[in-house]
Amino acid sequence: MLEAALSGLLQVVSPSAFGLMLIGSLIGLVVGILPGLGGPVALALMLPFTFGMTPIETFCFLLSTLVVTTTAGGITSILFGIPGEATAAAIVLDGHPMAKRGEAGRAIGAMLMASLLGALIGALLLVAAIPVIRPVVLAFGPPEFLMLALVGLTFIAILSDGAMLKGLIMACAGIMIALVGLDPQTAIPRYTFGKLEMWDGIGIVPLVIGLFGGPQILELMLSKNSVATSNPSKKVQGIWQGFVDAFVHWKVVLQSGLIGAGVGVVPGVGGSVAQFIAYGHAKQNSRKPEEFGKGSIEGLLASSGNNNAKDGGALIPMISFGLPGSVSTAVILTAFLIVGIDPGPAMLTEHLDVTFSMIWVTIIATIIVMIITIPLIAPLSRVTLVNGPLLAPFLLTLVVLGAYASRNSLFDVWVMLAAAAVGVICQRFRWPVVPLLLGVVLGAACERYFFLSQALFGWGWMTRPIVMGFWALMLFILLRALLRAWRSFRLRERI
Amino acid sequence: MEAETPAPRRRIDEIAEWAITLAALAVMVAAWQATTSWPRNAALFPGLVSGFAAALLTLKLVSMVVRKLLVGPLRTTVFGRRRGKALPSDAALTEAAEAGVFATTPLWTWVETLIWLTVFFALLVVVGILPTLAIFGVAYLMIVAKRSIWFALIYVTVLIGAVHLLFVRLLSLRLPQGMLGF
Repeated sequence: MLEAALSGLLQVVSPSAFGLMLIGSLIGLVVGILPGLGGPVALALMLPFTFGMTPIETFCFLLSTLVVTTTAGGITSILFGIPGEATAAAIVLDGHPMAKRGEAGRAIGAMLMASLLGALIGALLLVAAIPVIRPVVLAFGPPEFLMLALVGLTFIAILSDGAMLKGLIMACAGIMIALVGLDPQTAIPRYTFGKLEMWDGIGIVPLVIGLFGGPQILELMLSKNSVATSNPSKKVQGIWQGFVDAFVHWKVVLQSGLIGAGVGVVPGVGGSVAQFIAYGHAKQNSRKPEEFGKGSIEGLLASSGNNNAKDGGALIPMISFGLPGSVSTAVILTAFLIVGIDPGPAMLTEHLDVTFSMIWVTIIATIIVMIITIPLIAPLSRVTLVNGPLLAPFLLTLVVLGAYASRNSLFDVWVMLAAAAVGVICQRFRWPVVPLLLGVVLGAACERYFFLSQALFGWGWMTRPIVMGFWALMLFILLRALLRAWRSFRLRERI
Repeated sequence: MEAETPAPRRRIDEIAEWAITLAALAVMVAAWQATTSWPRNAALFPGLVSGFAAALLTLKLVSMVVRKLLVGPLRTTVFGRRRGKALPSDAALTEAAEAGVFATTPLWTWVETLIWLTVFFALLVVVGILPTLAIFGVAYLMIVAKRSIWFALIYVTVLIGAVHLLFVRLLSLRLPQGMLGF
């Protein structure tokens, strides 16, 4: 295995492969910063260029684009509160309040270092998983995947600060939004109101952009202030402080990375969910949970630490079974076929060097994006000092193009606008938005796994051993959150 | 939407809480009702979710009614204190900060901003994104940001150039076109 690891590294640092990795990283940086243009779009656009490349060159090019896109998505989340990527939505929750406090440099530094450490964790997990992954994944069927998704939703209880009931309601609303469109089993249009555009369902990208970006832009236009309310000039050195923060709170980063890699393994769940599970877990275990959502460094590290780790996790089922864990890995799977490699057991024996080259790319590409971004942090941080009215035309353009670009449809712009209105109402009247988004992300997967579980086992799926374990875990999470809420209520009553 | 002081703001919050809960309940009941006309396979999951959501909303509604009956409108806790008593200034300030710009912005600023947004999206539908950027950008920068016409023109030119270069040239993506086909 060591020999394959070394061979993989040597091939990755060869001039042609490394050059392609640099090009992929630059493309990933631009695409990641632009809202709406996520990793899958970037990979799909780059795929035709891989014809004629060797397998290692192909993965250097594509994986570096994907990894850097994921990391760079956090930059716009922090600076403007508009997620550059759907997987960077949780970074908004604490990263943007930090930018508002004038700590954009520190926040970007922490996000970058947590991403790098997360990439390392994901890579290590991938290496460790190589000999044992088959029996573990084979033990999971549709009921277990469904329960895993429901456990993700249960974290709503801790994400919705003091409003668990509202959180659960919003999660249900999110699932209902995910069910809009043609039913996958019977092809019957559901909740489409006779509109053809709705047959494909509601896009996740315009929803994310609207829910998180809409309120931020309206806030800037209403207040006519800059994003940062305090001068960040002295905090630009905060880049290094951000790096240090990632090491000081190493436990948060480690747990977040492990959650990211673990959830990334589950097909169809992916990074959009992993970030919120990691965030919820960090909040539940933090000594200062009340600071989450208000610029907590722990919250930022938790949401950043998993964004590259999940890529390592998503590679596990793809390499072992040819089963893509996300849309991005589905595109990479296509690249496998283009270069003539069949994913499966051969990747763990015959092509082990290629597998290791993929692991090296996730690590080296994160280091590259860090090196590219460090000199950009200071000027980027100063953008947060620009007046709101000056930024408004630029930000409006970004959100409109971001919403439109995902499906080339003006309908998605209206979805974004409606989501923005919902986001504003939720922010004004303190209804949690995150469970809504989580519901949208998980809704389709939940229904698919529910349908398969029913078809295979009837209602008996609920009593399978691993499922029962998940029920117990859900109960534990809920009870723990209820206990915490009760204690905090009693404490407030005494003051 | 006048700039609200803490007391009227709390009243608005209370009314909004009722309105949102009732509206959500109506939507979920309608969503559940819709599933009754679908085949079982298509209806089971949405029926379960909408039914569960309607039950949660009913529970929330009941808890709101009980709280209103038992505690009374002026005795809901705010930061551990009873609402009938005057809030200490720090608590009032914290509450105002949490409510954010949306609660504290005066009515006229809201109207002005919403008019600008309406103009932007109306232009988008009629003339497409690039002419919208030119017209809206120059007007907004001159009137709201109070910048000179030269600044506005340079800003808009750079923005349009960047959009064209990135989206059309580099990424080969289409831009939203208006009804007039620009």
